[in-house]
Amino acid sequence: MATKIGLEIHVQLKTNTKMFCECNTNFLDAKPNTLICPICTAQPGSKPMGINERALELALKTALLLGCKINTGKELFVERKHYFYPDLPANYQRTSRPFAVEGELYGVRIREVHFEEDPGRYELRTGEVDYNRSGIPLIEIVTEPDMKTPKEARDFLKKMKTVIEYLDAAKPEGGLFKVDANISTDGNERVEVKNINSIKGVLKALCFEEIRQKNLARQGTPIKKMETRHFEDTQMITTFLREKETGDDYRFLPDPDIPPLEISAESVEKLKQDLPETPTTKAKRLKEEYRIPKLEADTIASERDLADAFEKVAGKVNAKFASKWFVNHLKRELNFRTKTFIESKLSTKEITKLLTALEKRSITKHTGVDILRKMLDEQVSAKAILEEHGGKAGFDVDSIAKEVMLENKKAAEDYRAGKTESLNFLVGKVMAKTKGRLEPKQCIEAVKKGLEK
Amino acid sequence: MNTKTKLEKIKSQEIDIEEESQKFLQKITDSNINAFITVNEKQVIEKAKKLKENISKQKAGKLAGLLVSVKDNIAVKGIRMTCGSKMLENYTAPYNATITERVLEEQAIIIGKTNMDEFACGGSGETSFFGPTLNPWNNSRVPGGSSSGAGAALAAGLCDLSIGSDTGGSIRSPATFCGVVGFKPTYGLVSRYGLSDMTMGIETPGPMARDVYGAAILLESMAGNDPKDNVSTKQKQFDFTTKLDNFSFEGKTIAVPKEFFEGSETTVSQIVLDAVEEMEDRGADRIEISVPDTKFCVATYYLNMYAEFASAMQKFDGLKYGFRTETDSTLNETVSANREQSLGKEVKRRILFGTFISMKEFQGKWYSKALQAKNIIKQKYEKIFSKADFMVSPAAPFTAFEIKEKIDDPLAMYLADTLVSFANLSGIPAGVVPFGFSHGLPVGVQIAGGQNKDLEVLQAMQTLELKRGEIKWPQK
Ligand SMILES: [Zn+2]
Repeated sequence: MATKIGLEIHVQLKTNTKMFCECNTNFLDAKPNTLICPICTAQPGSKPMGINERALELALKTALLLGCKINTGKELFVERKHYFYPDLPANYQRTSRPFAVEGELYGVRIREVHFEEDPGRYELRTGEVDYNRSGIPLIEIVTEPDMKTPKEARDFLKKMKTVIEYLDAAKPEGGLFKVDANISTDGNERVEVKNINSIKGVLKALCFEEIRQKNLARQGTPIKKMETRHFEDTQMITTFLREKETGDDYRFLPDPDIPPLEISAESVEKLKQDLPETPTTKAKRLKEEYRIPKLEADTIASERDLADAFEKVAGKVNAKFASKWFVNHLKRELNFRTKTFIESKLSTKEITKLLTALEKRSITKHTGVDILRKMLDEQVSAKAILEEHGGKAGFDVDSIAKEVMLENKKAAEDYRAGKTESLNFLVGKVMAKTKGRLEPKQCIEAVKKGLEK
Repeated sequence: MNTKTKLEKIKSQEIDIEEESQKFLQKITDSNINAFITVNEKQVIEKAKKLKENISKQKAGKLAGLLVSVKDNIAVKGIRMTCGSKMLENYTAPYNATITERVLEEQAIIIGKTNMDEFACGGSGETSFFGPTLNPWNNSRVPGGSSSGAGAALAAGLCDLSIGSDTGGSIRSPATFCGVVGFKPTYGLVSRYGLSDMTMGIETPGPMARDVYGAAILLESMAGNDPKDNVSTKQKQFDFTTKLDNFSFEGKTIAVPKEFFEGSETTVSQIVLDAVEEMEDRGADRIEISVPDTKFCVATYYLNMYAEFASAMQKFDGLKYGFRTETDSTLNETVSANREQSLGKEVKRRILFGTFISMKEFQGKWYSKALQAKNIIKQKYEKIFSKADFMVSPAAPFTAFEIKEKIDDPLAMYLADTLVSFANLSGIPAGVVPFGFSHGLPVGVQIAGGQNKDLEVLQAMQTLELKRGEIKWPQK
């Protein structure tokens, strides 16, 4: 029987304040328990404030980009999900009813989207809890079990990541994603793997789990009861956590302190006007606007910041040329270093300089790649490298030609006397001196110029 | 001395607030009724001294120099907040409730935190971990609850004003048993931020005082929008004092719910009917009405309360704060032990019921039905108050009963709940003003009004108060 994979994706939304209080969300640089208040630590008598409007807006926009229908005109309750755990200050988590349903992204159906508040962070070793994260807004995106292989799940997540990056909706320091993955294969009951914090982790966990389940089935001992497993990040394996009881009872209760939310059709329409491009629409536009091949447009649009950089550069140099270079060189070098464009810290100004030099042919393709690698690995500016390269190889080609001429007086005279083969010899010398960093055409011109004198 | 006069004398410095504070503190020390869990001794004197120095120089606050007690389920920063439970015996509130903030801004002096039924679970003041509060009128009697210390402290003269909370009569029960004024405002008029949760959908803090003016000025200080409470009114400020006297029963309609008199003791009913007659004498029309089935109401009240209470109590695990037992067992076992060893019988009983009815398999059956029922009751009362200005009834079917008389008889207590919980379920204002005595024990009259008719209810209460005249307070 085929493998079925469904995902529950948690995304920390990029807001300045928490979901139900005014505490700051920048937990990354904060000392433990400094971004807290009576509300997000559940002191007796504290109450949630209203739903964070920015969080709601980002949540709705994300759902719209995932092609979901928004549940408008209905009362949407924020419920309390009760369970005891030290990271959960009230011992219940506030979680909304689905506000969006029936979406689809790249062939995977989205079942529903709802928002929740993040728990704190419980350090099992020390027993200490840091509530800085407690109350940070999250959305949970639940897919249908539409993915058939771990690789499909990974590819889907990559695309989902791009969409969310396009919206700038997620807190990158939250690791962007926390995923619970459901997988069943070969007649095994469904297994839920919790605590996966990266896309790579999802792939590893699912691969491990698929093989484990197939083996169990082969041995005639398939999983009979739904179970929850834990992903061990360091070992890339899953371990048994508990059997999933059908009676897992969270005693959901509409929170009496939060009046039900009602999303109006008009507000959704307004948000739709305000939606950013998606990777798909952006690729389409790039293709049309810059007349570049679809494949190149898709690659460039796969990263929002890369696409932004491309558009800036394409205004200064030939767009078709820039597109080819972005895809064949820049993206390739980034992939080789498993870096995103943003992480590379390249500036569009520098790239423009480099591409201008290439376009003017003052440097060769080969040199261009060399310079790009230096920019990536040594954080040197294009200008500095270009000057260095230029000084030795590029702009002084005439004097190199003169040098060659002086060193090979005989060949020069032969040429002047009508022996055209001598030209090839001289050009070869110039090219050798410039270590192939100059186009042959440039060298020929320089030599010709030198001979005329 | 009534509240209005006292305020004037404080402002004109005829009353020395420092001496007055010392006098009250001494009275608390001498008192045997166990009205306070924590007395704010040091800060009271400090605050009084400061206020004394400044009172002539600056514009005095609405509550300048009045000694206000706060029920121990309301947060006062830096002071212990026990909710009457061993669970929070050593818990210090790290913040102020919005209403605490507001009364402090009005220059009230918080004299201490009053005793209460544990987590407000009880109507007699007997379930507190810190022992029962005694009724100042007769020490063998209960003071009513759950704002037991608040009511008793006023009757015994241990404070000028009390802040209580009313989930299902918790202000009005001690008001009638102790012979003081108690007022449950319209839901949302007073911020609940900082009031420990019991039944969040129906409860509210409210004022208690020896006279209606005292309750009105305390309410005025506390009322108004609070962004930290989602159900809070939009209006920023309210005036309940300047127009308090500006009222007549002429042309008003008084509804008398016959069911509320049926189960009540005759002497109690009689005093309430006297009040109705007084209103008629002053020009009011009287109509007999039938209220929604009281059994239906009390079932609705309990289902709402159990489910929400169980959820609210979930946070008390003894891990973050609160009672923690010495054990090296698993996390879940530790939490269970903490709760087992620090929560009282009635609290546990309610958590158990609440957990049960909010379980998945009963969800549709109980809690969601209870919410619907609450709405039906609300609508029925809206209808009543479209025809009548006030509804007048007893606040309890009896006067203060003997301590331990009914503690093991939850049914008798439930009966008492029927007379008060309607106002919580429908969110309307209801106040109690003492209007007579039966066998030496006070009897209050309960006046309820429509949504946001808080001022009108206070006006009607004050009219009765004027007719009644001075109360001779118990001397101890
Ligand atoms: Zn906070």
